[in-house]
Amino acid sequence: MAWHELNKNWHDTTVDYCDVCGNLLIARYWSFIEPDGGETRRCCDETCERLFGRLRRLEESAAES
Amino acid sequence: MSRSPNGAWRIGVDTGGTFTDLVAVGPGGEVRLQKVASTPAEPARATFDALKRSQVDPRGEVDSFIMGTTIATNALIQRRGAPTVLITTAGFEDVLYIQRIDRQGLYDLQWVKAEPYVPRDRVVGVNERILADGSVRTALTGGELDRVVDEVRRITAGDQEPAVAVSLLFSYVNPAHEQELAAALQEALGGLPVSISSEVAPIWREYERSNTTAMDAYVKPIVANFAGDLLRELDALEMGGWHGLLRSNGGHVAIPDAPAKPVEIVLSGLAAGMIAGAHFARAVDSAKAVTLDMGGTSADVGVIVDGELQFSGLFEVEFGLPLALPILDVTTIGAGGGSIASIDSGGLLKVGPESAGAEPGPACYGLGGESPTVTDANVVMGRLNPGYFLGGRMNLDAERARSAIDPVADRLGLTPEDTAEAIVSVSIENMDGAMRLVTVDRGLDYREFDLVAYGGAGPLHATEIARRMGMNRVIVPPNPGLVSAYGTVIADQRVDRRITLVRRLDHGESEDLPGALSRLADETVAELRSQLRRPEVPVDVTTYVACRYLGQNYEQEIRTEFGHVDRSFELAVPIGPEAADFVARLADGYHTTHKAAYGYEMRDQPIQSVYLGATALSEAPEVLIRPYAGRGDGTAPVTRRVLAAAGQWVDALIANRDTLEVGETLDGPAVIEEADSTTWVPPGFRATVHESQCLIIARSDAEARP
Amino acid sequence: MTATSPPFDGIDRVGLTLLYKRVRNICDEMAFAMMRTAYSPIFSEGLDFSTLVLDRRGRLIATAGINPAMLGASLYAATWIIREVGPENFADGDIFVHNDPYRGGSHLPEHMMVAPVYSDGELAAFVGNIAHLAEIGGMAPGSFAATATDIFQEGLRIPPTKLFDRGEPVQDIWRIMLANHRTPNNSWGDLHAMVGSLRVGERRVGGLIAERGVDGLNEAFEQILDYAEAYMRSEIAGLPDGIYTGEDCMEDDGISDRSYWIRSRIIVEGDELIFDYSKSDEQAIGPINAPYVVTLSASLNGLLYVLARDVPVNAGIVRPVKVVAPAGTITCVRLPGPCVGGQTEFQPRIMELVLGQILSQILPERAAAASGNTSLNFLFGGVDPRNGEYYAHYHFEGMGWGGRATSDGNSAQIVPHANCRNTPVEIFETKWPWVHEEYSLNDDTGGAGRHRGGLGVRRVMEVEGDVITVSALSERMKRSPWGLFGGHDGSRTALEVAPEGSDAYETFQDAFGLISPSKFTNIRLRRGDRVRITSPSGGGYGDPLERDPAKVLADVELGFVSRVSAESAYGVVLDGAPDDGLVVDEAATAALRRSMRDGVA
Repeated sequence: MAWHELNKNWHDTTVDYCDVCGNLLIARYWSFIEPDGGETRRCCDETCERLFGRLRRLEESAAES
Repeated sequence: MSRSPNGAWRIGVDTGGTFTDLVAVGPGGEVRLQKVASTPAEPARATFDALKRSQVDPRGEVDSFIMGTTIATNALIQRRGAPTVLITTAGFEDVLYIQRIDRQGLYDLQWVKAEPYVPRDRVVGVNERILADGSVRTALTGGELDRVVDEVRRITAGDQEPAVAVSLLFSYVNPAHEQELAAALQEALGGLPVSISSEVAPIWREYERSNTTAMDAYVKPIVANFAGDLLRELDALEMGGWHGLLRSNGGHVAIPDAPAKPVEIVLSGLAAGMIAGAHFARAVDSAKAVTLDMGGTSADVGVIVDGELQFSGLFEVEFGLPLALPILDVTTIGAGGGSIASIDSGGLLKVGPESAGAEPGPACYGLGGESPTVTDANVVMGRLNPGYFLGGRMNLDAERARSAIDPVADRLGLTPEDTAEAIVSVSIENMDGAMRLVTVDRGLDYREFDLVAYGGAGPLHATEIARRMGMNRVIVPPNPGLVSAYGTVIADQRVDRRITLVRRLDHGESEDLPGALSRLADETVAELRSQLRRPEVPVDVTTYVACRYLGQNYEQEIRTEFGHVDRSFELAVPIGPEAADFVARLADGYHTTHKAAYGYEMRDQPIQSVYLGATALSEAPEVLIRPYAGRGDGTAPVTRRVLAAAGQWVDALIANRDTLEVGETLDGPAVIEEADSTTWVPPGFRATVHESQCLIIARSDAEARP
Repeated sequence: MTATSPPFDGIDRVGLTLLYKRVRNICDEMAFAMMRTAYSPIFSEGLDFSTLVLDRRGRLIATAGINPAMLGASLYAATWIIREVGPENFADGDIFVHNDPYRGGSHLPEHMMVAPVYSDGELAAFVGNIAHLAEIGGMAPGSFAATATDIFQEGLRIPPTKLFDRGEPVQDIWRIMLANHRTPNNSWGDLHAMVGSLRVGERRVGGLIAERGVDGLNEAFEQILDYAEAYMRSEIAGLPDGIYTGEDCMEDDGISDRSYWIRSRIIVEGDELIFDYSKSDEQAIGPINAPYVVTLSASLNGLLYVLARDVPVNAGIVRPVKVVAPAGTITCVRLPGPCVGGQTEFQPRIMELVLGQILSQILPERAAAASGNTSLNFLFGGVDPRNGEYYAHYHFEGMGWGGRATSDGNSAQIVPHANCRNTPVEIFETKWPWVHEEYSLNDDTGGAGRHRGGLGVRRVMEVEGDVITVSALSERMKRSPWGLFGGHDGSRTALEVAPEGSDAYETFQDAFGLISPSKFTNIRLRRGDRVRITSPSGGGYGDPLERDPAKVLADVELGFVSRVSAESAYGVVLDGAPDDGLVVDEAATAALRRSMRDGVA
């Protein structure tokens, strides 16, 4: 639930992806912990965190129906 | 009064969809003006009707007789051209169907590709092949020529006035096969008109060249008939002088030569209005002007910057049907006095694009038209004087106008007067939108522009349009309804010539370039001189070489911004024997021009010439037109009830334009009437008579401009 | 931006309209400069490029409406470059170049350049462009290696790199780039065309700054973004809420015979929309993967086909849309996965999937059957015997589009997610040593339907050089373009070859023993060999038995449909000889159609 700097070395040319939507993470990222004590996720910003929750709820309701 | 050179008559005619107009400037500056109804079925008839009415003696001293005509334009737009056959290199018969594979809008799933002018079952493939370097890979045999001729004979059997277009691969490098085909067709099927691409548009890119050639053939019989009719009549009248048709480039061509390359007169009719629009913009020192030529069926919108017409490198009749020739940049919209008002399927009022045209015309003409038009609405609003239409030569029937509007009023639940106002408002909204597109799409802020309004219906609507758009002044030229005809009188005499000459400037092969250019200039001047009756008239010639870096695919001669030509980048070079280092200076000029246009140059890269061009120009002598008496007739001012806006009826001052003096002002609401047009000055606006005889209309509270 | 636009209280709407149009016109002018000055016909004829104006934070304000395939990269790549470099590290006269598909690029051949625009030392805006370079090295001439298994085989990858430093070329970078391209002089010309286009843009944006000031201009840019967002939201709100699903696949990846599936779920809720591709297959070994921006492009392009035609395209339109394409799936390739074909083959597939999903489920009256839906990339390179110089080219074809609710599909049109033009035969043969025998429509192939699918094209050409090395990357060889609502499928792609002196064409796959019929690299052809490229036709829309017999007759007369197909596919019986004029045999047609319907039932 906080912003972090990516802090890459200048000679490091690899890239990092948002764990939720797949878009590129540049310079900094937003991290959150999955509900119910799951993994730590790195994502674009708070909207991606909300999106994560929303997609998960959709999965659950699909599983129920 | 105006003057004409050598005291001879200069006659100009503009044939529009509704009216045919004639302007004649005679010995001593006498001006004769005529407006007659067009005769679409026999376009030449109205012209000679107008000439007869003008009472100019054709056997007298006639300097020139020049026409602007929409005959080729209309044939292309309405697809009423000749049944045409296209001959291509075998294997490439589908060139007109494949086109360039792109589409008009990015996101339109329903878009339909343009239908070619020549259907697929009228295309003949010929066994021959020329390569990129001009060498012959497959020779064109006598047997093949016979087969193609037979095939063309079979396809055209039973056709009314067919035509043939020939466009073979790489003919712009080596035209031999096209010429052989043309000769064989002439010999076997003499009289069948043939257009060959190496003459019509000798440019690379087979689709653009083939389509331009197909269009040329498509309009050839119609233009040939028209030219024939004109020449027969002119002969019968024993008229002397130069007889020309206005061309799309703003110059003119001798009438007998027009059918040889009719594609050059496609914008003939529009060019006339633009030439005159530019003339009057210059006359009132308007640096930026939009021209609005609104007649009975349509309105043409153009842009004049610093008094100059704007050119477009590529004109498209519709998306995907290019005409690959330099042409004036003008846009036509379907809005005119004859635009018909109706109720659409959603229950809303709609005006145009359908038009009542010349026949039957608006309901108030009393010629059988029953549909309510914009003209009818203006009569009901009191803006048009039923008793003074065409200077009283035609009476408008106000009752018919009103009863034509009644059914629409009933559907809308409005009074006929309110309905009339709504019709005019919608029509102005239509033009407003179209004019915004024309200017804004070219990146021009219309709020910095004046509006030059002419055509029979332009001055009636212009001030309302300008007010809505927030434009500057409105300029109404003298005799607004005859401005296009006036443009034909003042058009310059002009000859453009171009030859292909591909040479690397860093090689010895470019040695012949200065000589070729010099010869081309001489030939161009000679051609123009042959058209002039007065050897003492000065002729200006400019030459240009189109170049590119070896490897580039477009050459640089003129720079275009949003389809407009900016001639400041045209490379004009001094020629003659003194130009020893000509090629070196040409190369230097190209680097410099390229850097100015694109911000970089590549001095290490070889440069290649592509074509040479020359333009010879003889400026038409200035004509000053003084068509109005310019003095009051001593009668008391008259007023009339006019529907101004939002249901408000006001007493508008009615003035006859003939009685207005230079410097005189009129405050709106006012109606200024003259034989060929009516100008509406709304409340809050003031009209001033400029020394050029133009009316300048601006907000009354605006600072008066000289 | 007229009557239908959402309200903007207190804002000069005319001024905003004009500003947006002017920015669009700057993009057009930049595009025009690029077209006029480039060396490669991909630029000058194909128009395979985009030009951009961005605000001082690097957000897209406008782009020339040329190649929608680059939409995703246009929206993100420059923004990423500017963020990665840091706006404070730019200087007046700098130009950065970049082609990294893991950083917002679409695939390696597409190079992006970005230049800052300053006003008295204050950063005011950026201009940029993206263009497809014909040759950037890698394992195959034309740099479209269909058998690449990692990005290093696809060509030279460049992260955001300074190409001009305060107006001066950074020579070391230029030398590294040009040394890795097979046709360096061509790249020299094309890269300069890109630079010239930026210089034109800088000059014109400078004019806007002079009028409005740096802050004033950026405030107006903000309003343009808000406007686009509001427009997009009101359009999305017009779609019924719901979850729409669909799937389609890529036939193979050039490395093995297996197909890769894209599974799409579109969630419409109020004025927002989510494209979710998380259930798609893992990334392929071969180069059919999509970088994130390609999947984003495809999704937005599909949506823009559905929405109003005049949505202003800029960074504002992405705000109400989210694309979920997890890294490691075929919809978001992870380093070092290859991806050159994602842009040209994967993007149209996913775009039509989106389109088909939304339109045929929600708005059938605006739907269309499948188009040929491949760019049909054909690459070649060699030494030109006419001048001894090395050349290389990246070639694509038009194809048939699907029949639609209102009319037949267009023939010979570029793939729907792009809008490039073909290269005229006359320019083709002037530049490269091939001689064409034929470039025509492929008769009798359009998917039958009430509205027929458009025809693909056939190109036959002969090798004029001693050796030409060819490669291809295409699709639609195993699965046909689908028909819709009872329309028949369209025809498939074919890539064939005949040895010198022979008319016996066989597929490249059979002739050279290839794994994939549509994806191969580095086949050496010799003088006199001929290649035949056949592009697919579109699917039909609606039952062909409902097609007006007069239209079938007209198709037969023009040669678009054969007399045999008129009977077998449309149930239309014609009478008479072709030269004397054909007529529809009404009675026989009615009878045949009746029996065909019964046969189906």
